[in-house]
Amino acid sequence: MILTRGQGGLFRYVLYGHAALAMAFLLLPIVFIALLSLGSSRWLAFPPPEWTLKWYQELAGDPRWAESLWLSLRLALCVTILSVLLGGAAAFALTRGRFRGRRLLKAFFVSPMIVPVVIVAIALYSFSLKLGLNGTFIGFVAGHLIIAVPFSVICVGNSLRAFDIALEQAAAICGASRLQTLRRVTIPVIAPGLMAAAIFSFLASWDEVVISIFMASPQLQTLPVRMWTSLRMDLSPVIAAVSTLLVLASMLLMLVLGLLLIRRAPK
Amino acid sequence: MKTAAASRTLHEAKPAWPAIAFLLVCFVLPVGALLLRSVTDPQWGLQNFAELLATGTYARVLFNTFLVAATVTLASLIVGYPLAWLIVMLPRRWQQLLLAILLMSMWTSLLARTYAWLVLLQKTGVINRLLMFLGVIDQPLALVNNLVGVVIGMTYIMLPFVVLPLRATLSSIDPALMHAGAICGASSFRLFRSVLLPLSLPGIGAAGLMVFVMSLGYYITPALLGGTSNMMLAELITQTVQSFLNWGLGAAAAVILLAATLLLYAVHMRYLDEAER
Amino acid sequence: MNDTIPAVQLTDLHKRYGDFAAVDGVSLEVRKGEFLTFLGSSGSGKTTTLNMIAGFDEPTSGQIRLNGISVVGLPPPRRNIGMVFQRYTLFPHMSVEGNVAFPLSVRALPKAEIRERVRNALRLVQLEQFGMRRPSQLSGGQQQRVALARALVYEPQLLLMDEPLGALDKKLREEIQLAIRKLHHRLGVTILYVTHDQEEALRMSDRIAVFQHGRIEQVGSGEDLYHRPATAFVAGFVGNSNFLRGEVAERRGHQVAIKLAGEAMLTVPSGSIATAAGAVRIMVRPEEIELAPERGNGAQVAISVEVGERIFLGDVVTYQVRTAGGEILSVRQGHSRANPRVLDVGTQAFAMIAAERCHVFAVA
Repeated sequence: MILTRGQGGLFRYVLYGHAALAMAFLLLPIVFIALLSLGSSRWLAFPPPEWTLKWYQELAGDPRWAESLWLSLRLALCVTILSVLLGGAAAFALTRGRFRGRRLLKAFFVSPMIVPVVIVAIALYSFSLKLGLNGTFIGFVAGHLIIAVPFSVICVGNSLRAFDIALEQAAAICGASRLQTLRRVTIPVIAPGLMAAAIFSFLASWDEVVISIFMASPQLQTLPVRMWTSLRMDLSPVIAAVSTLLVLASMLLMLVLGLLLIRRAPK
Repeated sequence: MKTAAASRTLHEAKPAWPAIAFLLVCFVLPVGALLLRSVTDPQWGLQNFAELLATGTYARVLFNTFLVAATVTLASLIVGYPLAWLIVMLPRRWQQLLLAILLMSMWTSLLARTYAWLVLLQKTGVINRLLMFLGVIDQPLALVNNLVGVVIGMTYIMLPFVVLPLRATLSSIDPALMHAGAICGASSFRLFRSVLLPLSLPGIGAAGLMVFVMSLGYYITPALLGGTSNMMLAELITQTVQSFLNWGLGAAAAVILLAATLLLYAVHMRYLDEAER
Repeated sequence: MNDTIPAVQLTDLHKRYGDFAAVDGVSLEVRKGEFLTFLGSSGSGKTTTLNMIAGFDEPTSGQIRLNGISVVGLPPPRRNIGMVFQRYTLFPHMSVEGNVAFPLSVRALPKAEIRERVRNALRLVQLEQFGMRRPSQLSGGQQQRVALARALVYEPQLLLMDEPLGALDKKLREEIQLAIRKLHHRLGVTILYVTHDQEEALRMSDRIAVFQHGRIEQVGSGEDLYHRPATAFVAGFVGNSNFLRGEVAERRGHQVAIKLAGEAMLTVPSGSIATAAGAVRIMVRPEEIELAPERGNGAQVAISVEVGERIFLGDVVTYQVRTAGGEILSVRQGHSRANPRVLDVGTQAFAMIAAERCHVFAVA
């Protein structure tokens, strides 16, 4: 490649060393948190005097964390479905529609990604205060959907652009109505784009912190919000336990996706 | 004829109507209303902006924000560029391993990662204890609740956002160019300085700009790792609004943040075009 | 009585995009069971016409009848036509069987019948063993055969084929041309074929419609087009041709004398040219020109030429010769034991042309 591994001399080792340090930098906090969650020290002393699972037990015993988890899941699911529907339909209009101002419309759909989240958060905060939507499920859905829709538009849009329109013509000639064509040809072929849109939308909602902080009420807190308020108050190792579980969940997701990708490409 | 075209536009864009309506109502309207408040709250005029830019404390916040963003950008580029380069050099197995670690870092909860640094950087935390153990320092360093902690934490968060685009840029550079330079007699360092670096400059610019813009508006990490005395723009906005209920001032700060963001994105688009050539 | 109704009837078909006429007054009748090819270069209107027959484009004006029934306004799914596209367009997410079964399952036929007909269709194109494969696992030729099976499995009255072999290499193309021809004989389905390759058209078709600028210049069998081209365009498009400049000199009764560049005079029956006077173009096929060092005797026009280039192809020798007026003629002579003469480059010779072998066209 650029500098093949055979050459480079000293420089090569400098590069290796740098990379090792950078990787350690990346992994350190994650590993550290996992270890902390298993230590018995309330004050996060490291190395801990004992190893224990009590923080996980405390976590399991606290109904509020379970509630937040459940809320986050329900929310992410709702947002995913709505995002794929709305964003997917918008992508159809963007790729198939023949009208001027398509670029402008595309920019419009992507704009929530550009505006800093904190601005969106307090704008929505003010708006929903007036409408009484703070601390409601709908309020959360609306807030998360704003962040998720751009992902859907982009992912489904990419899939649609790569889609060969002649496939739909072939289906029509074979006798399929427009609905049948959509259901049996178009959607299955763009399924990877839909899948990507779903995954990104889910993660966007699941991880969303800033908007959620402002949309939350003491009774209705998503998982990230509960972590945030806990962090502001004190640094209990329970948070370490939650963090570790979240890390494991990410790793699991990556593993699953990796396996799916490998299965899809046998050639 | 204009109305015919207009009605055709509306018709052709039909599938997008729900999304358009939703974004207009829940996004454009609230944000627009907020931005408007900067010049209407408490009364018409630009007093909010004057107050922001003239008052020492607020001006300091603006300065801190840009300083931190610049530092984070620089730091992530310095750490990230060699990493990206190495990834491109390595055989597939190693590439995939390193990328997996990067992606995992990106996908792990932001709060979990920030929390980790919060603990690590404490005066009694691991890093200080390690440095004291190694004899590098005598007294624990104040690594958190100040801008140092913010820089460290944000560099950590931004690193994948630098490495991934840079990897794409570097892998698109024709290796034959490096070979040609080597045949001409250039040392590795010379090759880097005169061939690789200039060619990757557009990619560096694009990635750097993106990180800079993201850092400007970042809320979570600075709020957790920073101290109350040196807050950044995002926290200023939320505090002004939530604690002081000064919507006008908060909105003005939001306008400044948004303006800077949009300006930088416009520059970024230019870089993107160049990087693609 | 049913056999007299044309399978396809196009009446004064027009398709306009703003000022541009992609199809400019096309009328045609296709007989049942006929293999008719639309031949023309890109932009000639042949594909647009086919798309209108399929239903993907609406004509600006004009009538399209399939088996006597007007289909203008009828959407493609209801026209019961088969179609094979340029880029195969097999559904990538379905197996070969799934692809071929698709039109049947859309018609909600019972599963057992679908399975039977899919099997027969695949047997027809000799791909029975490939049922479970995915399109991405097939070669280009195999994919095209699956597309054929899918188009024929619901026994349409009409099969449309839009340059289906363009993406294949020469040998594969000839194989599948043969396969299509055989299928045609076997099934007797009416086929409308679009191509820009005149050799392909000649090889496969019963009749050929030559398209140019959105109009049909001529419809006829390959022989018709070759030996009796109606216009200079058709003469030049189908087969190799030479064009000579000439001018009408005088009319003598039933004959017209044409002066060629370089003094030679050509006499043709007056029925064969439309214009009374003026510049004309004379077309003669390379194999109809006799090339000899001496002027022959006989009722032939002899033009003095110089041999410019000679290519020896074994059983045939082709020459490029130049007339005194600077025109280049392409001559093709058979070469064998009985006829071994070969002329050298630079030789002065005579190109002999028989009047009845010429086609005269007015200069438009």
